[in-house]
Amino acid sequence: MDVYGNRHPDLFSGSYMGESIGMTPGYIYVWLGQGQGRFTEREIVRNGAGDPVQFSPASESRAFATEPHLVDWDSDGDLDLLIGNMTGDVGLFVNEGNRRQPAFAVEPVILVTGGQSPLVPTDMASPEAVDWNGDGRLDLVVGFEDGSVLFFGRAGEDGEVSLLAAEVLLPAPSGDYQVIPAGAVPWRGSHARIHVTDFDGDGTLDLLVGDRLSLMTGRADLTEAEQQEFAHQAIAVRRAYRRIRELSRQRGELIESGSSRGEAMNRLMREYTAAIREFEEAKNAVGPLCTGTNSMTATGFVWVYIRR
Amino acid sequence: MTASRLALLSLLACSTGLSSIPVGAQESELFHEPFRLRTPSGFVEAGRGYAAPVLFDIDEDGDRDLIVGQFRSGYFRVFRNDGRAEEGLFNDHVLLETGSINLSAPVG
Repeated sequence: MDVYGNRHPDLFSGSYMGESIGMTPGYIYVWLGQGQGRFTEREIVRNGAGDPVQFSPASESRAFATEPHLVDWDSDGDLDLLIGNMTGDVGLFVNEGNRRQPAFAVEPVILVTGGQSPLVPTDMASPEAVDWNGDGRLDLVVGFEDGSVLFFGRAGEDGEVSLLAAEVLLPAPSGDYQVIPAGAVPWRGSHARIHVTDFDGDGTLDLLVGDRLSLMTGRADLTEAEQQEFAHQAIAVRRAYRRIRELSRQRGELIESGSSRGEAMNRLMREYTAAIREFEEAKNAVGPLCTGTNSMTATGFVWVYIRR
Repeated sequence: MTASRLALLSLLACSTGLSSIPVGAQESELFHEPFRLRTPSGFVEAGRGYAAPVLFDIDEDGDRDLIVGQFRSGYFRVFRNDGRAEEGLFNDHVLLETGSINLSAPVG
Protein backbone atom coordinates (compact mmCIF):
# COMPACT_ATOMS: atom_id res chain seq x y z
CA MET A 1 0.00 0.00 0.00
CA ASP A 2 1.06 3.61 -0.56
CA VAL A 3 1.97 4.92 2.88
CA TYR A 4 4.04 7.99 2.09
CA GLY A 5 1.92 9.57 -0.59
CA ASN A 6 4.09 8.81 -3.60
CA ARG A 7 1.15 7.15 -5.39
CA HIS A 8 2.81 3.76 -5.64
CA PRO A 9 2.61 0.92 -3.14
CA ASP A 10 5.58 0.75 -0.79
CA LEU A 11 7.29 -2.35 0.59
CA PHE A 12 7.69 -2.76 4.35
CA SER A 13 9.66 -5.36 6.22
CA GLY A 14 10.72 -6.08 9.73
CA SER A 15 14.10 -7.55 10.53
CA TYR A 16 15.60 -10.08 12.88
CA MET A 17 18.36 -7.81 14.05
CA GLY A 18 19.65 -4.51 12.79
CA GLU A 19 22.52 -3.08 10.83
CA SER A 20 24.96 -4.40 13.41
CA ILE A 21 24.40 -7.22 15.87
CA GLY A 22 23.58 -5.95 19.34
CA MET A 23 23.33 -2.32 18.27
CA THR A 24 20.15 -1.73 16.31
CA PRO A 25 17.73 -4.61 16.68
CA GLY A 26 14.55 -5.22 14.80
CA TYR A 27 14.16 -2.01 12.82
CA ILE A 28 11.28 -1.63 10.37
CA TYR A 29 12.38 -0.88 6.83
CA VAL A 30 10.61 0.66 3.84
CA TRP A 31 11.38 0.68 0.15
CA LEU A 32 9.33 3.43 -1.51
CA GLY A 33 7.47 2.27 -4.59
CA GLN A 34 8.26 3.79 -7.98
CA GLY A 35 5.83 1.73 -10.05
CA GLN A 36 6.34 -1.29 -12.29
CA GLY A 37 8.00 -3.28 -9.54
CA ARG A 38 10.73 -0.71 -8.92
CA PHE A 39 11.65 0.58 -5.47
CA THR A 40 14.04 3.05 -3.88
CA GLU A 41 16.92 2.16 -1.58
CA ARG A 42 16.07 0.83 1.88
CA GLU A 43 15.15 3.38 4.58
CA ILE A 44 14.48 2.97 8.28
CA VAL A 45 10.92 3.72 9.33
CA ARG A 46 10.99 6.47 11.93
CA ASN A 47 8.60 7.68 14.58
CA GLY A 48 7.27 11.17 15.09
CA ALA A 49 10.40 12.11 17.05
CA GLY A 50 12.64 11.13 14.15
CA ASP A 51 14.01 7.99 15.79
CA PRO A 52 13.69 4.43 14.44
CA VAL A 53 10.43 2.77 15.34
CA GLN A 54 11.21 0.00 17.82
CA PHE A 55 10.17 -1.62 21.04
CA SER A 56 12.16 -0.42 24.01
CA PRO A 57 14.52 -0.97 25.56
CA ALA A 58 16.29 -1.81 22.32
CA SER A 59 18.78 -4.04 24.11
CA GLU A 60 16.16 -6.63 25.06
CA SER A 61 14.94 -9.52 22.93
CA ARG A 62 11.47 -8.00 22.69
CA ALA A 63 12.89 -5.56 20.14
CA PHE A 64 14.09 -8.35 17.80
CA ALA A 65 12.47 -10.35 14.98
CA THR A 66 9.90 -7.76 14.06
CA GLU A 67 7.09 -8.13 11.57
CA PRO A 68 5.05 -5.06 10.64
CA HIS A 69 1.47 -4.70 9.44
CA LEU A 70 -0.04 -1.36 8.46
CA VAL A 71 -3.73 -0.89 9.17
CA ASP A 72 -6.13 1.81 10.33
CA TRP A 73 -6.63 0.23 13.76
CA ASP A 74 -8.41 3.20 15.35
CA SER A 75 -10.57 4.07 12.31
CA ASP A 76 -9.35 7.65 12.10
CA GLY A 77 -8.46 7.55 8.41
CA ASP A 78 -4.70 7.01 8.60
CA LEU A 79 -2.52 3.92 8.80
CA ASP A 80 -1.20 2.74 12.14
CA LEU A 81 1.66 0.30 12.58
CA LEU A 82 1.17 -3.09 14.22
CA ILE A 83 4.40 -4.92 14.95
CA GLY A 84 4.88 -8.49 16.13
CA ASN A 85 8.13 -9.27 17.92
CA MET A 86 10.44 -11.97 19.24
CA THR A 87 8.66 -12.40 22.57
CA GLY A 88 5.23 -12.90 21.01
CA ASP A 89 3.93 -9.41 21.73
CA VAL A 90 1.96 -7.37 19.21
CA GLY A 91 2.47 -3.65 19.69
CA LEU A 92 0.42 -0.83 18.21
CA PHE A 93 2.36 2.27 17.18
CA VAL A 94 -0.46 4.76 16.64
CA ASN A 95 -0.10 7.13 13.70
CA GLU A 96 -0.23 10.57 15.27
CA GLY A 97 0.21 12.26 11.90
CA ASN A 98 -2.01 11.75 8.90
CA ARG A 99 -2.54 9.56 5.84
CA ARG A 100 0.22 11.16 3.75
CA GLN A 101 2.67 12.16 6.47
CA PRO A 102 2.63 9.42 9.09
CA ALA A 103 4.12 10.13 12.52
CA PHE A 104 4.20 6.90 14.48
CA ALA A 105 4.13 7.02 18.28
CA VAL A 106 7.40 6.67 20.15
CA GLU A 107 6.04 4.01 22.50
CA PRO A 108 3.76 1.16 21.49
CA VAL A 109 0.57 0.13 23.18
CA ILE A 110 0.80 -3.60 23.68
CA LEU A 111 -2.26 -5.60 22.64
CA VAL A 112 -3.58 -7.72 25.47
CA THR A 113 -6.04 -10.52 25.97
CA GLY A 114 -7.55 -10.88 29.41
CA GLY A 115 -5.41 -7.95 30.43
CA GLN A 116 -2.22 -9.87 29.80
CA SER A 117 0.60 -9.91 27.27
CA PRO A 118 2.07 -11.60 25.41
CA LEU A 119 -1.09 -12.87 23.85
CA VAL A 120 -0.04 -16.49 24.28
CA PRO A 121 3.09 -18.07 25.86
CA THR A 122 5.00 -18.56 22.62
CA ASP A 123 7.30 -16.42 20.53
CA MET A 124 7.73 -14.58 17.24
CA ALA A 125 4.38 -13.03 16.45
CA SER A 126 3.36 -12.50 12.82
CA PRO A 127 0.20 -10.34 12.98
CA GLU A 128 -2.43 -9.16 10.51
CA ALA A 129 -5.50 -7.11 11.37
CA VAL A 130 -8.48 -8.21 9.26
CA ASP A 131 -12.22 -8.68 9.74
CA TRP A 132 -11.93 -12.45 10.07
CA ASN A 133 -15.38 -13.08 11.54
CA GLY A 134 -17.28 -10.67 9.28
CA ASP A 135 -18.69 -8.48 12.06
CA GLY A 136 -17.48 -5.26 10.46
CA ARG A 137 -14.59 -4.76 12.92
CA LEU A 138 -10.92 -5.49 12.56
CA ASP A 139 -9.75 -8.59 14.40
CA LEU A 140 -6.24 -9.93 14.86
CA VAL A 141 -4.89 -13.09 13.24
CA VAL A 142 -1.40 -14.07 14.39
CA GLY A 143 1.10 -16.75 13.45
CA PHE A 144 3.63 -17.86 16.07
CA GLU A 145 6.98 -19.61 16.38
CA ASP A 146 5.41 -22.97 17.29
CA GLY A 147 3.53 -22.87 13.97
CA SER A 148 0.12 -22.17 15.45
CA VAL A 149 -2.18 -19.54 13.92
CA LEU A 150 -4.64 -17.92 16.32
CA PHE A 151 -7.60 -15.58 15.97
CA PHE A 152 -8.32 -12.83 18.51
CA GLY A 153 -11.63 -11.01 18.23
CA ARG A 154 -11.89 -7.32 19.14
CA ALA A 155 -13.11 -6.37 22.57
CA GLY A 156 -14.03 -2.82 23.44
CA GLU A 157 -14.25 0.16 21.15
CA ASP A 158 -12.19 1.11 18.09
CA GLY A 159 -8.69 2.14 19.07
CA GLU A 160 -8.67 0.03 22.21
CA VAL A 161 -6.18 -2.77 22.46
CA SER A 162 -8.18 -5.38 24.36
CA LEU A 163 -8.77 -8.63 22.54
CA LEU A 164 -10.94 -11.62 23.26
CA ALA A 165 -9.41 -14.99 24.16
CA ALA A 166 -7.58 -16.80 21.40
CA GLU A 167 -9.35 -19.20 19.08
CA VAL A 168 -7.22 -21.73 17.26
CA LEU A 169 -7.32 -21.49 13.48
CA LEU A 170 -4.35 -23.85 13.00
CA PRO A 171 -2.78 -25.88 15.81
CA ALA A 172 0.98 -26.09 16.26
CA PRO A 173 2.39 -28.81 13.95
CA SER A 174 4.55 -31.69 15.12
CA GLY A 175 7.90 -29.97 14.72
CA ASP A 176 10.21 -28.69 12.08
CA TYR A 177 12.89 -31.42 11.88
CA GLN A 178 11.51 -33.99 9.47
CA VAL A 179 12.90 -37.23 8.04
CA ILE A 180 10.47 -38.50 5.43
CA PRO A 181 10.49 -41.36 2.91
CA ALA A 182 10.69 -40.73 -0.82
CA GLY A 183 7.36 -39.63 -2.19
CA ALA A 184 5.99 -38.48 1.16
CA VAL A 185 4.65 -34.97 1.71
CA PRO A 186 6.19 -33.08 4.61
CA TRP A 187 3.89 -31.60 7.18
CA ARG A 188 3.88 -27.89 7.84
CA GLY A 189 6.81 -26.67 9.91
CA SER A 190 7.19 -24.02 12.56
CA HIS A 191 7.48 -20.21 12.53
CA ALA A 192 4.12 -19.41 10.95
CA ARG A 193 4.40 -16.19 8.90
CA ILE A 194 0.89 -15.38 7.73
CA HIS A 195 -0.90 -13.49 4.98
CA VAL A 196 -4.69 -13.29 5.20
CA THR A 197 -6.33 -12.92 1.80
CA ASP A 198 -9.16 -14.21 -0.37
CA PHE A 199 -7.01 -16.64 -2.36
CA ASP A 200 -9.71 -18.30 -4.43
CA GLY A 201 -11.93 -15.27 -5.00
CA ASP A 202 -15.01 -16.69 -3.27
CA GLY A 203 -15.48 -13.70 -0.99
CA THR A 204 -14.11 -15.33 2.17
CA LEU A 205 -10.71 -14.81 3.69
CA ASP A 206 -8.18 -17.63 3.43
CA LEU A 207 -4.71 -18.11 4.91
CA LEU A 208 -1.28 -18.23 3.36
CA VAL A 209 1.23 -19.58 5.89
CA GLY A 210 4.98 -19.58 5.39
CA ASP A 211 7.00 -21.95 7.52
CA ARG A 212 10.43 -23.18 8.45
CA LEU A 213 11.56 -26.79 8.47
CA SER A 214 14.67 -28.91 8.20
CA LEU A 215 14.15 -31.81 5.87
CA MET A 216 15.86 -35.09 5.01
CA THR A 217 14.21 -37.23 2.32
CA GLY A 218 14.86 -40.94 1.91
CA ARG A 219 16.18 -42.28 -1.39
CA ALA A 220 13.71 -43.96 -3.70
CA ASP A 221 16.00 -46.93 -4.35
CA LEU A 222 16.26 -48.31 -0.80
CA THR A 223 16.13 -52.07 -0.33
CA GLU A 224 13.64 -53.60 2.12
CA ALA A 225 16.37 -53.83 4.75
CA GLU A 226 17.42 -50.22 4.13
CA GLN A 227 13.80 -49.07 4.41
CA GLN A 228 13.53 -50.70 7.82
CA GLU A 229 16.79 -49.08 8.90
CA PHE A 230 15.56 -45.74 7.53
CA ALA A 231 12.36 -46.01 9.56
CA HIS A 232 14.30 -46.93 12.70
CA GLN A 233 16.70 -44.00 12.40
CA ALA A 234 13.95 -41.56 11.40
CA ILE A 235 12.09 -42.47 14.58
CA ALA A 236 15.30 -41.97 16.57
CA VAL A 237 15.77 -38.51 15.04
CA ARG A 238 12.20 -37.54 15.93
CA ARG A 239 12.42 -38.79 19.49
CA ALA A 240 15.75 -37.08 20.12
CA TYR A 241 14.45 -33.82 18.66
CA ARG A 242 11.35 -33.91 20.85
CA ARG A 243 13.56 -34.56 23.88
CA ILE A 244 15.73 -31.57 22.97
CA ARG A 245 12.67 -29.33 22.70
CA GLU A 246 11.30 -30.52 26.05
CA LEU A 247 14.65 -29.98 27.78
CA SER A 248 14.93 -26.51 26.21
CA ARG A 249 11.52 -25.69 27.61
CA GLN A 250 12.54 -26.92 31.06
CA ARG A 251 15.75 -24.91 30.87
CA GLY A 252 13.76 -21.78 30.12
CA GLU A 253 11.53 -22.42 33.12
CA LEU A 254 14.52 -22.87 35.40
CA ILE A 255 16.05 -19.63 34.20
CA GLU A 256 12.80 -17.72 34.67
CA SER A 257 12.46 -19.10 38.19
CA GLY A 258 15.93 -17.82 39.05
CA SER A 259 17.50 -21.27 39.09
CA SER A 260 20.03 -20.84 36.30
CA ARG A 261 22.73 -22.41 38.52
CA GLY A 262 22.66 -25.43 40.79
CA GLU A 263 22.25 -29.15 40.60
CA ALA A 264 18.90 -29.06 38.76
CA MET A 265 20.39 -27.05 35.90
CA ASN A 266 23.55 -29.16 35.86
CA ARG A 267 21.48 -32.34 35.61
CA LEU A 268 19.31 -30.86 32.89
CA MET A 269 22.31 -29.76 30.85
CA ARG A 270 23.79 -33.26 31.06
CA GLU A 271 20.55 -34.65 29.69
CA TYR A 272 20.49 -31.96 27.01
CA THR A 273 24.02 -32.82 25.90
CA ALA A 274 23.08 -36.49 25.71
CA ALA A 275 19.98 -35.69 23.64
CA ILE A 276 22.03 -33.60 21.22
CA ARG A 277 24.47 -36.47 20.84
CA GLU A 278 21.65 -38.94 20.15
CA PHE A 279 20.14 -36.54 17.62
CA GLU A 280 23.40 -36.14 15.74
CA GLU A 281 24.09 -39.89 15.80
CA ALA A 282 20.65 -40.65 14.37
CA LYS A 283 21.05 -38.00 11.66
CA ASN A 284 24.45 -39.39 10.71
CA ALA A 285 23.03 -42.92 10.58
CA VAL A 286 20.08 -42.01 8.35
CA GLY A 287 22.07 -39.63 6.17
CA PRO A 288 23.46 -42.20 3.70
CA LEU A 289 19.91 -43.44 3.14
CA CYS A 290 18.76 -39.97 2.06
CA THR A 291 19.05 -37.86 -1.03
CA GLY A 292 21.33 -34.86 -1.31
CA THR A 293 24.25 -34.17 0.97
CA ASN A 294 23.17 -36.45 3.85
CA SER A 295 22.38 -33.44 6.00
CA MET A 296 19.21 -31.61 6.84
CA THR A 297 18.21 -28.91 4.42
CA ALA A 298 16.62 -25.86 6.02
CA THR A 299 13.84 -24.47 3.89
CA GLY A 300 10.41 -22.85 4.04
CA PHE A 301 7.29 -23.49 2.03
CA VAL A 302 4.12 -21.46 1.52
CA TRP A 303 0.96 -23.35 2.47
CA VAL A 304 -2.52 -22.32 1.36
CA TYR A 305 -5.52 -22.93 3.62
CA ILE A 306 -8.80 -22.33 1.80
CA ARG A 307 -11.64 -21.59 4.18
CA ARG A 308 -14.63 -23.93 4.06
CA MET B 1 2.81 -46.42 -3.84
CA THR B 2 4.15 -49.89 -3.12
CA ALA B 3 2.92 -51.94 -0.18
CA SER B 4 6.35 -51.76 1.45
CA ARG B 5 6.49 -47.99 1.19
CA LEU B 6 2.99 -47.68 2.62
CA ALA B 7 4.02 -49.89 5.50
CA LEU B 8 7.06 -47.69 6.06
CA LEU B 9 4.90 -44.57 6.23
CA SER B 10 2.52 -46.26 8.67
CA LEU B 11 5.40 -47.36 10.89
CA LEU B 12 6.75 -43.82 10.99
CA ALA B 13 3.33 -42.35 11.70
CA CYS B 14 2.42 -44.68 14.55
CA SER B 15 5.78 -44.99 16.24
CA THR B 16 6.58 -41.32 16.51
CA GLY B 17 3.15 -39.97 17.40
CA LEU B 18 2.88 -38.46 13.97
CA SER B 19 -0.63 -39.86 13.78
CA SER B 20 -1.75 -36.75 15.63
CA ILE B 21 -1.14 -34.87 12.38
CA PRO B 22 -0.77 -37.58 9.75
CA VAL B 23 1.00 -36.76 6.52
CA GLY B 24 -1.46 -35.19 4.13
CA ALA B 25 -4.32 -34.90 6.62
CA GLN B 26 -6.21 -31.76 7.52
CA GLU B 27 -5.07 -29.75 10.52
CA SER B 28 -8.36 -27.96 11.03
CA GLU B 29 -12.02 -28.40 10.15
CA LEU B 30 -12.14 -24.71 9.28
CA PHE B 31 -10.16 -25.24 6.10
CA HIS B 32 -9.90 -27.60 3.18
CA GLU B 33 -6.80 -29.77 3.00
CA PRO B 34 -3.80 -27.44 2.65
CA PHE B 35 -1.49 -27.42 -0.33
CA ARG B 36 1.90 -25.90 -1.07
CA LEU B 37 2.33 -23.25 -3.73
CA ARG B 38 4.31 -24.52 -6.69
CA THR B 39 6.48 -23.38 -9.57
CA PRO B 40 7.44 -25.19 -12.79
CA SER B 41 10.65 -26.25 -11.01
CA GLY B 42 9.04 -27.58 -7.86
CA PHE B 43 7.68 -25.78 -4.84
CA VAL B 44 7.76 -22.16 -3.76
CA GLU B 45 10.58 -22.13 -1.21
CA ALA B 46 12.46 -19.61 0.91
CA GLY B 47 16.22 -19.86 1.37
CA ARG B 48 16.94 -21.22 4.89
CA GLY B 49 13.27 -20.99 5.70
CA TYR B 50 11.15 -18.50 7.62
CA ALA B 51 9.09 -17.93 4.47
CA ALA B 52 7.02 -14.75 4.78
CA PRO B 53 4.50 -14.56 1.93
CA VAL B 54 2.33 -11.78 0.56
CA LEU B 55 0.22 -11.57 -2.60
CA PHE B 56 0.65 -8.29 -4.46
CA ASP B 57 0.46 -7.13 -8.10
CA ILE B 58 4.08 -6.02 -8.29
CA ASP B 59 4.23 -5.81 -12.09
CA GLU B 60 0.89 -4.00 -12.33
CA ASP B 61 -0.53 -6.38 -14.92
CA GLY B 62 -3.82 -6.90 -13.11
CA ASP B 63 -3.14 -10.11 -11.25
CA ARG B 64 -1.48 -10.77 -7.91
CA ASP B 65 2.07 -12.02 -7.79
CA LEU B 66 3.69 -13.75 -4.81
CA ILE B 67 6.47 -12.10 -2.84
CA VAL B 68 8.24 -14.20 -0.21
CA GLY B 69 10.67 -12.87 2.34
CA GLN B 70 13.34 -15.30 3.54
CA PHE B 71 16.00 -15.63 6.21
CA ARG B 72 18.95 -16.22 3.85
CA SER B 73 20.45 -12.76 3.35
CA GLY B 74 17.05 -11.19 3.99
CA TYR B 75 16.18 -11.25 0.30
CA PHE B 76 12.73 -11.11 -1.24
CA ARG B 77 11.77 -13.68 -3.85
CA VAL B 78 9.26 -12.62 -6.49
CA PHE B 79 7.17 -15.36 -8.09
CA ARG B 80 5.20 -13.79 -10.93
CA ASN B 81 1.66 -14.84 -11.74
CA ASP B 82 1.09 -15.80 -15.37
CA GLY B 83 -2.54 -16.66 -14.87
CA ARG B 84 -2.40 -19.94 -12.97
CA ALA B 85 -2.24 -18.66 -9.39
CA GLU B 86 -5.64 -20.09 -8.48
CA GLU B 87 -4.19 -23.51 -9.32
CA GLY B 88 -1.39 -22.71 -6.87
CA LEU B 89 1.19 -22.26 -9.64
CA PHE B 90 3.53 -19.29 -10.03
CA ASN B 91 6.63 -18.68 -12.17
CA ASP B 92 10.09 -19.54 -10.88
CA HIS B 93 11.41 -16.76 -8.73
CA VAL B 94 13.66 -13.79 -9.29
CA LEU B 95 15.10 -11.70 -6.49
CA LEU B 96 13.55 -8.30 -5.94
CA GLU B 97 16.12 -5.65 -6.70
CA THR B 98 16.63 -1.92 -7.09
CA GLY B 99 19.12 -1.06 -9.79
CA SER B 100 21.67 -3.84 -9.55
CA ILE B 101 21.21 -4.40 -5.81
CA ASN B 102 18.98 -7.08 -4.35
CA LEU B 103 16.56 -5.70 -1.77
CA SER B 104 17.22 -7.18 1.63
CA ALA B 105 16.38 -6.72 5.27
CA PRO B 106 19.06 -7.28 7.92
CA VAL B 107 19.14 -10.70 9.50
CA GLY B 108 22.00 -9.90 11.88
